[in-house]
Amino acid sequence: MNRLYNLEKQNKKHLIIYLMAGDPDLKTTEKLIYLLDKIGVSVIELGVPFSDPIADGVTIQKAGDRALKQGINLKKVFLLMKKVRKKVNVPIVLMTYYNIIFNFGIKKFIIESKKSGIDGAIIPDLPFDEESEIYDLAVKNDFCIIYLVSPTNTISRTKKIVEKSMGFVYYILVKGVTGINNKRSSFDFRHLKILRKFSKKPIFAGFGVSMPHEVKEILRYFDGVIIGSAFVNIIEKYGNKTEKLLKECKKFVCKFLTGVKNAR
Amino acid sequence: MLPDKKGFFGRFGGKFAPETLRALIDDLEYQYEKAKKDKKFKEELNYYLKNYIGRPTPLYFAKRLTKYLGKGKIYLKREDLCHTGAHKINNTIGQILLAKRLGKKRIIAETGAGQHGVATATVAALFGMECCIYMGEEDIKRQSLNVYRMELLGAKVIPVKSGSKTLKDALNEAIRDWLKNVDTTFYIIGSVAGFHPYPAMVRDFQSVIGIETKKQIIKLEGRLPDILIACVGGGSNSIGLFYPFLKYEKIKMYGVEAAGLGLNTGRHAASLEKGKIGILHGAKTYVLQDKNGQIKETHSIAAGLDYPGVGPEHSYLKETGRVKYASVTDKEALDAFKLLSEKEGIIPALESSHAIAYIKKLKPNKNNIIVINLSGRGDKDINTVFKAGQT
Repeated sequence: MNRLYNLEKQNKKHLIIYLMAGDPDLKTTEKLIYLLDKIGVSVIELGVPFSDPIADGVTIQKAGDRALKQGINLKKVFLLMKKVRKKVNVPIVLMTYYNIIFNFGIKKFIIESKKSGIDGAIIPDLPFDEESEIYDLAVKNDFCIIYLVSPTNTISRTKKIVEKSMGFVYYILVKGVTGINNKRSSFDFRHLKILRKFSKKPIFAGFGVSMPHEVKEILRYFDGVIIGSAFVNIIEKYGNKTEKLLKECKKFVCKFLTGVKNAR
Repeated sequence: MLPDKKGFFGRFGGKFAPETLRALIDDLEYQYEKAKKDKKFKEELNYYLKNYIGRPTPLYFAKRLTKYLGKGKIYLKREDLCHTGAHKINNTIGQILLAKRLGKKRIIAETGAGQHGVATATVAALFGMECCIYMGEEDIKRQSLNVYRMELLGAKVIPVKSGSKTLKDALNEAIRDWLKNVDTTFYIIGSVAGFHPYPAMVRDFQSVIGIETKKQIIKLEGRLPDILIACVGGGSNSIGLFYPFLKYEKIKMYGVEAAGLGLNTGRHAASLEKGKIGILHGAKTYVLQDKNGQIKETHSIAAGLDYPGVGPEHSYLKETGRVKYASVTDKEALDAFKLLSEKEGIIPALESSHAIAYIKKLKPNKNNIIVINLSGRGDKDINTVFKAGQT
């Protein structure tokens, strides 16, 4: 069974960390995955770079550029995953744009992902009601496509997204792109009620969260919190100083983990 | 009638948009459908088309060019005579009227060469709206005059430093702005690209070109034309000319893309000829991409054609074979630029020069009536042509 389905059985709050595969290089990515697994992150979101990431802010755009310079593509990510899967059991999902997957071939993507131990994919420019083929293939192959809910979604659409999303639901906290400079919009409780009413799936919230003190409030409403750009900033800062980078990343994530544990 | 309910032309198009934009584009689709049926909206649009843009534009018989080339009877649809110098304003005026209807106060747009940016800044000034234009840093360097024009019109030109720093990146950045400012902002897309309803909406606003052409040619020649030619970047001027004629199966249509330095050099913008089906800026369509699905950087001497995607309806028309797509190199376009200047006293935009250059590759009947869409005037290109002549 897909590793993501264990999440809803666990009676706890979750921390999800995003990093870009191949930023600054694949070796460091590998080490970071071992680290994140070891210190108790619930899900790892692994970015696959795309030249035109419209839903991402500057931080992740730059991380993608660095990864592209390393020649990162899906094949290399699958190879990396096959290697790390021998050592870690944390759920890992890919985050990328639809053209990357479509170009690779939808069926081939899902089969290769499964073979490499990838549990699901987050595709910000693929709404649940486009491309029914990928949805059907995912269901058939026990692969999760995680759909995103925005605060601007209508109630009827929110209901459908929650129904279709697999593994967990990704709630976007801001009107805007990824990044730490976004002002979070005030939370719409109608949405939360709908999210809860229609599904028992875990709901994780992301976009614009950068400080450990924000975690407590977010976890009052959600089952988990997703940290992306703030973590990528640390990778950017320490770049090729691998030892220092790992140390700083650990320190950063541990602060959030403490917040998450206390929110239980 | 295409697109279908989900915004598809056959298997092309769609709404591949982040969820944050979804409610907005669904509403835009609904409001646009309503506006289309609203007599008042049509009246207002027609008022500005006539009195502000100067429509109808002439359908001009190019006598000396016809004689020189000896190929059919060549007419030029003079979109270069529109206010601001290109067909772009047909669309921006339509969209800003829609923005006004939706109560939006802020306008954003992307621009490559600056023509769409100028056309957007112009209508924003006309209606007193705040206007931000996203433009690649590279394009800003190449088109400083248009940057100044936009600023003169009261727009803020925002340099885009991401990616290849050209049109596609300007589009990315405009979409990101829209994601952040969904409540206040209307995004005026300049071509038949992007998520539904944009490809259909921009087509409808540009169709005035074909509708006028049909009336005019019947008046002039007593019959429909045999051949239509237009250049294709994103594809708005070409679809504007073609669309009202699609149902007449005998009329041949040619869309001309930019072959840049040559189709085999990798330095071109011929998405339909050399691209693969993919998803860019919200639509499934032909896209120039590498083997991993990364979008390629393109090249054309005509900045308005320098885009790695193409409107989804063109992908559909290519697939059905209704329109033939071909391409013309920078050099061929430059020759046509000079030819039309010399023979007719009309300096065409480098984009439109691609359409003119294509006649040389056709073998029409002597009696064939050919209509070429002269989508814009070439004043903006004088520097580029001058530099090209020096190398």
